[in-house]
Amino acid sequence: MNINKFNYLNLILFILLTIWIFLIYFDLLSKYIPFISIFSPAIKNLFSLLCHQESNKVFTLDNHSTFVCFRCLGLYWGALFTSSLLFAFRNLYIQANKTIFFISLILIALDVVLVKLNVYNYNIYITFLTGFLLGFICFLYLYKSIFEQLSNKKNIDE
Amino acid sequence: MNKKYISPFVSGFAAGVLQIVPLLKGFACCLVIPAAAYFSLLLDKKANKSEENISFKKAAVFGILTGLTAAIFATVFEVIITLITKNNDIVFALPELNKMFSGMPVDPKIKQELINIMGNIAKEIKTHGFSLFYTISILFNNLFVNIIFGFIGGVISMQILNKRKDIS
Repeated sequence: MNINKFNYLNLILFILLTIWIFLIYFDLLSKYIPFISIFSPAIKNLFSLLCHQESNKVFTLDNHSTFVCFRCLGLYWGALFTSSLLFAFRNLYIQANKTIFFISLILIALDVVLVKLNVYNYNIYITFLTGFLLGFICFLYLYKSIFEQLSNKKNIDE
Repeated sequence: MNKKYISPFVSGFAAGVLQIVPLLKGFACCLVIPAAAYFSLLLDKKANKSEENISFKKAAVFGILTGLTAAIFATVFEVIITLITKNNDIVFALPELNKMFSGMPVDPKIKQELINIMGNIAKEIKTHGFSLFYTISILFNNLFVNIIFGFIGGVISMQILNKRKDIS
């Protein structure tokens, strides 16, 4: 597969992710573009399938909030960040590693359990970062799968 | 049904059930659907005692089918529960929704129209336990989101399962 095809694939994923993140911030944007607020309830309802949307765990500004919590926000930003990096470092997907994937899952589980046990209070930065790491590694896996398929390789590591 | 697709059907059914459990509802697509796609591939691998790597096509099809099955079952269960209880999230959130619509900086006619639509849905649910508009909207939402996350879950799981084989 040549570099152009590689970049096209990443560009498509990048655009899709950008649209997705745009939808997450839709309510915040409606603060500046009032008319679009009419669509907010429908989009919020759609995202309620993806996230608990607890009011104390979402980013809020002047009564307008994101449609997902900080962890989910981290997940999508992590994926978008990886997509951006792939434009510059096209071999980054080779780094997709099962160990990192499971570590990121364990970190999320650990954060949830420790907060529930009141070891520490809900921290937006920790929450965001744990989501970010999972988003980062998930996007590498997703990209690797599609890339392998398009380049007709059985296994990229071979 | 083609036996080849039993595992996404089983996983999708399980995910559909979990999708209506109140606490898990919010994590349905974030965790439940990708995990269901993973289990559908794993079940298929175990059932066929296959040692071969999973192909992209198979992973994508299994992921999408898992999402599709989960969406259909989640919608059916939601409709049944609403039919029995004559209550659901929309009835519960109606006062808040009305408040939200009233505060919108849009044409008062549009605002009133939206309030009427939501009011009618809530009324239908309270009296008959069923609203066609509501059913179609949840089916559409479930299909849209579950299929996307089923696909993502499937192709990511493919890498995890294939890699595991390489290591062992």
